[in-house]
Amino acid sequence: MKIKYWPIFLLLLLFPSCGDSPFLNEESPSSEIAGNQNLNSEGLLFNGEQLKIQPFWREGPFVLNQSRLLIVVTNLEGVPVSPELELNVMLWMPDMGHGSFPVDVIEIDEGVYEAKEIFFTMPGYWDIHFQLTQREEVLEEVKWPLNL
Amino acid sequence: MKMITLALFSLLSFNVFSHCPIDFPEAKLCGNITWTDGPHLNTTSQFELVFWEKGDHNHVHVSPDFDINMYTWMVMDSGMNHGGPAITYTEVSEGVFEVLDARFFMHGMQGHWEIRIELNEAGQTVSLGSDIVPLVGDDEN
Repeated sequence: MKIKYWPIFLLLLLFPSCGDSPFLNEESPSSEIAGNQNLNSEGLLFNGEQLKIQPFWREGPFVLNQSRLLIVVTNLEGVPVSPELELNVMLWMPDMGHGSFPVDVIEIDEGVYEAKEIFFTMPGYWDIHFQLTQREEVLEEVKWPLNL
Repeated sequence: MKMITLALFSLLSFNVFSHCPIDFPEAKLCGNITWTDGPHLNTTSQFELVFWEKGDHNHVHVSPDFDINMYTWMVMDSGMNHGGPAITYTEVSEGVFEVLDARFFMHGMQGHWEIRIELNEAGQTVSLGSDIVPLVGDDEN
Protein backbone atom coordinates (compact mmCIF):
# COMPACT_ATOMS: atom_id res chain seq x y z
CA MET A 1 0.00 0.00 0.00
CA LYS A 2 1.40 3.34 -0.98
CA ILE A 3 0.98 6.28 1.45
CA LYS A 4 0.51 9.69 -0.03
CA TYR A 5 2.38 12.33 2.01
CA TRP A 6 1.44 15.44 0.10
CA PRO A 7 -1.81 16.14 2.07
CA ILE A 8 0.24 16.20 5.29
CA PHE A 9 2.64 18.75 3.86
CA LEU A 10 -0.31 20.81 2.70
CA LEU A 11 -1.76 20.75 6.21
CA LEU A 12 1.56 21.86 7.67
CA LEU A 13 1.59 24.82 5.31
CA LEU A 14 -1.93 25.78 6.31
CA PHE A 15 -1.11 25.79 10.02
CA PRO A 16 2.06 27.74 10.49
CA SER A 17 3.57 27.82 13.93
CA CYS A 18 2.40 30.45 16.37
CA GLY A 19 3.99 32.18 19.33
CA ASP A 20 7.21 34.07 19.73
CA SER A 21 10.47 32.56 18.76
CA PRO A 22 12.57 31.69 21.81
CA PHE A 23 15.38 33.60 20.12
CA LEU A 24 13.36 36.79 20.38
CA ASN A 25 12.80 36.56 24.13
CA GLU A 26 14.24 39.58 25.88
CA GLU A 27 15.47 39.76 29.40
CA SER A 28 13.82 42.12 31.85
CA PRO A 29 14.81 45.74 31.30
CA SER A 30 18.06 46.88 32.81
CA SER A 31 18.92 50.36 33.97
CA GLU A 32 19.81 51.19 30.40
CA ILE A 33 17.70 53.31 28.13
CA ALA A 34 14.37 52.09 26.79
CA GLY A 35 13.97 53.66 23.37
CA ASN A 36 12.38 56.97 22.40
CA GLN A 37 15.62 58.56 21.43
CA ASN A 38 13.81 60.60 18.77
CA LEU A 39 16.94 60.84 16.75
CA ASN A 40 17.35 59.87 13.14
CA SER A 41 20.43 59.68 10.98
CA GLU A 42 20.13 63.43 10.32
CA GLY A 43 20.92 64.22 13.95
CA LEU A 44 19.70 67.31 15.75
CA LEU A 45 19.71 70.64 13.96
CA PHE A 46 20.75 74.04 15.23
CA ASN A 47 18.74 76.11 12.76
CA GLY A 48 20.39 79.43 13.55
CA GLU A 49 23.96 78.25 13.31
CA GLN A 50 23.16 75.79 10.52
CA LEU A 51 24.90 73.00 12.37
CA LYS A 52 23.95 69.42 13.07
CA ILE A 53 24.90 67.36 16.07
CA GLN A 54 24.93 63.62 16.35
CA PRO A 55 25.30 62.18 19.85
CA PHE A 56 26.47 58.59 20.43
CA TRP A 57 26.46 56.79 23.76
CA ARG A 58 29.94 55.70 24.74
CA GLU A 59 28.77 54.43 28.13
CA GLY A 60 25.19 53.98 29.25
CA PRO A 61 22.87 55.67 29.56
CA PHE A 62 22.62 54.44 33.14
CA VAL A 63 20.68 55.48 36.21
CA LEU A 64 23.01 56.71 39.00
CA ASN A 65 26.20 55.48 37.35
CA GLN A 66 28.16 57.75 35.07
CA SER A 67 27.26 57.81 31.37
CA ARG A 68 29.36 59.27 28.57
CA LEU A 69 28.50 60.67 25.16
CA LEU A 70 30.47 61.27 22.01
CA ILE A 71 29.05 64.27 20.14
CA VAL A 72 29.88 65.08 16.55
CA VAL A 73 29.10 68.58 15.28
CA THR A 74 28.93 68.98 11.52
CA ASN A 75 27.90 71.55 8.96
CA LEU A 76 24.92 70.77 6.75
CA GLU A 77 27.20 68.89 4.37
CA GLY A 78 28.16 66.53 7.17
CA VAL A 79 31.72 67.79 7.62
CA PRO A 80 32.82 67.99 11.28
CA VAL A 81 33.34 71.60 12.32
CA SER A 82 34.09 73.39 15.55
CA PRO A 83 31.30 75.86 16.26
CA GLU A 84 32.34 79.40 17.07
CA LEU A 85 30.06 79.23 20.09
CA GLU A 86 30.69 76.98 23.07
CA LEU A 87 28.89 73.65 23.22
CA ASN A 88 27.21 72.92 26.54
CA VAL A 89 25.18 69.91 27.64
CA MET A 90 22.56 70.13 30.38
CA LEU A 91 20.29 67.45 31.83
CA TRP A 92 16.75 68.31 32.86
CA MET A 93 13.87 66.27 34.20
CA PRO A 94 10.80 68.35 33.27
CA ASP A 95 8.29 66.27 35.24
CA MET A 96 10.30 66.81 38.41
CA GLY A 97 11.49 70.31 37.67
CA HIS A 98 15.15 69.72 38.35
CA GLY A 99 18.40 68.94 36.63
CA SER A 100 21.51 67.06 37.58
CA PHE A 101 25.22 67.38 38.10
CA PRO A 102 26.98 69.63 35.55
CA VAL A 103 28.05 67.76 32.43
CA ASP A 104 31.70 68.07 31.48
CA VAL A 105 32.14 68.70 27.73
CA ILE A 106 35.59 68.57 26.13
CA GLU A 107 36.44 69.03 22.46
CA ILE A 108 38.74 66.17 21.53
CA ASP A 109 39.02 66.88 17.81
CA GLU A 110 37.60 69.24 15.17
CA GLY A 111 33.84 69.09 15.85
CA VAL A 112 34.16 66.01 18.08
CA TYR A 113 33.30 66.32 21.74
CA GLU A 114 33.27 64.00 24.71
CA ALA A 115 30.61 64.62 27.35
CA LYS A 116 31.23 62.94 30.70
CA GLU A 117 29.96 63.35 34.25
CA ILE A 118 26.48 62.54 32.93
CA PHE A 119 24.35 61.36 35.84
CA PHE A 120 20.68 60.49 35.55
CA THR A 121 19.68 60.29 39.18
CA MET A 122 16.38 58.49 38.72
CA PRO A 123 14.45 56.58 36.08
CA GLY A 124 11.88 58.51 34.07
CA TYR A 125 11.73 61.10 31.32
CA TRP A 126 14.79 63.30 30.82
CA ASP A 127 15.67 65.95 28.30
CA ILE A 128 19.29 66.32 27.27
CA HIS A 129 19.78 69.93 26.22
CA PHE A 130 22.54 70.64 23.73
CA GLN A 131 23.25 74.33 23.94
CA LEU A 132 25.36 76.78 22.02
CA THR A 133 26.47 79.40 24.49
CA GLN A 134 28.48 82.57 24.62
CA ARG A 135 29.75 83.81 27.97
CA GLU A 136 27.30 81.38 29.67
CA GLU A 137 24.34 82.81 27.77
CA VAL A 138 22.38 80.22 25.83
CA LEU A 139 21.97 81.42 22.24
CA GLU A 140 20.49 78.27 20.75
CA GLU A 141 19.55 74.84 21.98
CA VAL A 142 18.08 71.54 20.89
CA LYS A 143 16.65 68.82 23.11
CA TRP A 144 17.11 65.09 22.99
CA PRO A 145 14.36 63.30 24.92
CA LEU A 146 15.18 60.07 26.73
CA ASN A 147 13.15 57.60 28.72
CA LEU A 148 15.11 55.77 31.35
CA MET B 1 33.70 55.53 99.00
CA LYS B 2 33.36 58.99 97.45
CA MET B 3 36.19 58.16 95.05
CA ILE B 4 34.55 54.92 94.00
CA THR B 5 31.22 56.67 93.44
CA LEU B 6 32.91 59.39 91.43
CA ALA B 7 34.83 56.86 89.32
CA LEU B 8 31.65 54.87 88.71
CA PHE B 9 29.76 58.01 87.72
CA SER B 10 32.55 59.00 85.36
CA LEU B 11 32.52 55.61 83.69
CA LEU B 12 28.74 55.74 83.29
CA SER B 13 28.96 59.26 81.91
CA PHE B 14 31.47 58.17 79.32
CA ASN B 15 29.14 55.41 78.15
CA VAL B 16 26.04 57.56 78.12
CA PHE B 17 27.67 60.46 76.31
CA SER B 18 29.94 58.47 74.02
CA HIS B 19 30.48 60.35 70.82
CA CYS B 20 28.58 58.52 68.08
CA PRO B 21 27.90 60.83 65.12
CA ILE B 22 26.54 58.05 62.89
CA ASP B 23 24.83 55.41 64.94
CA PHE B 24 24.51 51.80 63.82
CA PRO B 25 22.66 50.44 66.87
CA GLU B 26 21.93 47.02 65.38
CA ALA B 27 25.62 46.52 64.65
CA LYS B 28 26.87 48.19 67.85
CA LEU B 29 29.06 50.45 65.75
CA CYS B 30 29.57 54.16 65.34
CA GLY B 31 30.82 56.05 62.33
CA ASN B 32 32.09 59.48 61.53
CA ILE B 33 32.63 61.36 58.29
CA THR B 34 35.47 63.83 57.83
CA TRP B 35 35.40 65.96 54.71
CA THR B 36 38.85 66.10 53.19
CA ASP B 37 37.72 68.18 50.20
CA GLY B 38 34.40 69.93 50.36
CA PRO B 39 31.58 69.23 50.46
CA HIS B 40 31.05 71.22 47.28
CA LEU B 41 28.17 71.79 44.92
CA ASN B 42 28.70 71.01 41.24
CA THR B 43 32.19 69.66 41.63
CA THR B 44 33.65 66.50 43.13
CA SER B 45 33.99 66.22 46.92
CA GLN B 46 36.04 63.82 49.03
CA PHE B 47 35.55 62.38 52.50
CA GLU B 48 36.71 59.72 54.88
CA LEU B 49 34.43 57.46 56.89
CA VAL B 50 35.66 55.66 59.99
CA PHE B 51 34.00 53.03 62.18
CA TRP B 52 34.55 52.14 65.82
CA GLU B 53 32.78 50.00 68.36
CA LYS B 54 29.97 51.76 70.13
CA GLY B 55 31.05 52.87 73.58
CA ASP B 56 34.75 52.93 72.75
CA HIS B 57 35.74 56.45 73.67
CA ASN B 58 39.18 55.88 72.13
CA HIS B 59 37.50 55.41 68.75
CA VAL B 60 39.79 52.56 67.76
CA HIS B 61 38.99 51.92 64.12
CA VAL B 62 37.36 48.61 63.35
CA SER B 63 36.42 47.07 60.08
CA PRO B 64 32.68 46.28 60.08
CA ASP B 65 31.93 42.60 59.75
CA PHE B 66 29.28 43.42 57.15
CA ASP B 67 28.98 44.20 53.48
CA ILE B 68 28.93 47.96 53.14
CA ASN B 69 26.78 49.88 50.71
CA MET B 70 27.34 53.61 50.65
CA TYR B 71 25.44 56.14 48.54
CA THR B 72 24.32 59.75 48.40
CA TRP B 73 20.66 60.51 49.01
CA MET B 74 18.63 63.62 48.28
CA VAL B 75 15.79 64.39 50.69
CA MET B 76 13.59 66.95 48.97
CA ASP B 77 11.38 69.41 50.75
CA SER B 78 8.55 68.22 48.50
CA GLY B 79 8.67 64.86 50.27
CA MET B 80 10.34 63.07 47.38
CA ASN B 81 13.64 61.30 47.92
CA HIS B 82 16.08 59.88 45.45
CA GLY B 83 19.65 58.79 45.04
CA GLY B 84 22.56 60.75 43.67
CA PRO B 85 25.51 60.05 41.40
CA ALA B 86 27.12 56.77 42.33
CA ILE B 87 30.15 56.91 44.62
CA THR B 88 33.02 54.49 45.00
CA TYR B 89 34.77 53.70 48.26
CA THR B 90 37.94 51.93 49.29
CA GLU B 91 38.97 50.67 52.71
CA VAL B 92 42.39 52.28 52.95
CA SER B 93 43.17 50.93 56.41
CA GLU B 94 41.36 49.04 59.17
CA GLY B 95 37.93 50.65 59.48
CA VAL B 96 38.83 53.68 57.35
CA PHE B 97 36.97 54.17 54.07
CA GLU B 98 37.92 56.77 51.50
CA VAL B 99 35.52 58.33 48.99
CA LEU B 100 37.02 60.51 46.27
CA ASP B 101 34.08 60.98 43.93
CA ALA B 102 31.06 62.32 45.83
CA ARG B 103 28.98 64.64 43.65
CA PHE B 104 26.28 67.02 44.86
CA PHE B 105 24.11 69.52 43.05
CA MET B 106 20.84 71.35 43.57
CA HIS B 107 19.91 72.44 40.02
CA GLY B 108 16.31 73.32 40.85
CA MET B 109 15.92 71.05 43.88
CA GLN B 110 15.01 72.19 47.37
CA GLY B 111 16.20 69.91 50.10
CA HIS B 112 19.36 68.41 51.52
CA TRP B 113 21.85 65.69 50.68
CA GLU B 114 22.78 62.82 52.97
CA ILE B 115 25.45 60.17 52.95
CA ARG B 116 23.76 56.86 53.68
CA ILE B 117 25.63 53.79 54.82
CA GLU B 118 24.04 50.36 54.88
CA LEU B 119 25.58 47.46 56.76
CA ASN B 120 24.35 44.36 55.00
CA GLU B 121 24.48 40.67 55.69
CA ALA B 122 23.32 37.99 53.26
CA GLY B 123 21.71 40.67 51.11
CA GLN B 124 19.68 42.11 53.99
CA THR B 125 20.27 45.48 55.60
CA VAL B 126 21.16 44.99 59.24
CA SER B 127 21.72 48.65 60.05
CA LEU B 128 21.39 51.95 58.24
CA GLY B 129 23.23 55.10 59.26
CA SER B 130 23.16 58.52 57.67
CA ASP B 131 24.77 61.90 57.94
CA ILE B 132 23.62 65.22 56.50
CA VAL B 133 26.06 66.73 54.02
CA PRO B 134 26.94 70.19 55.33
CA LEU B 135 26.70 72.05 52.05
CA VAL B 136 26.81 75.80 52.35
CA GLY B 137 25.36 78.45 50.08
CA ASP B 138 22.27 78.49 47.96
CA ASP B 139 23.83 77.60 44.67
CA GLU B 140 20.86 76.88 42.44
CA ASN B 141 22.94 75.98 39.43
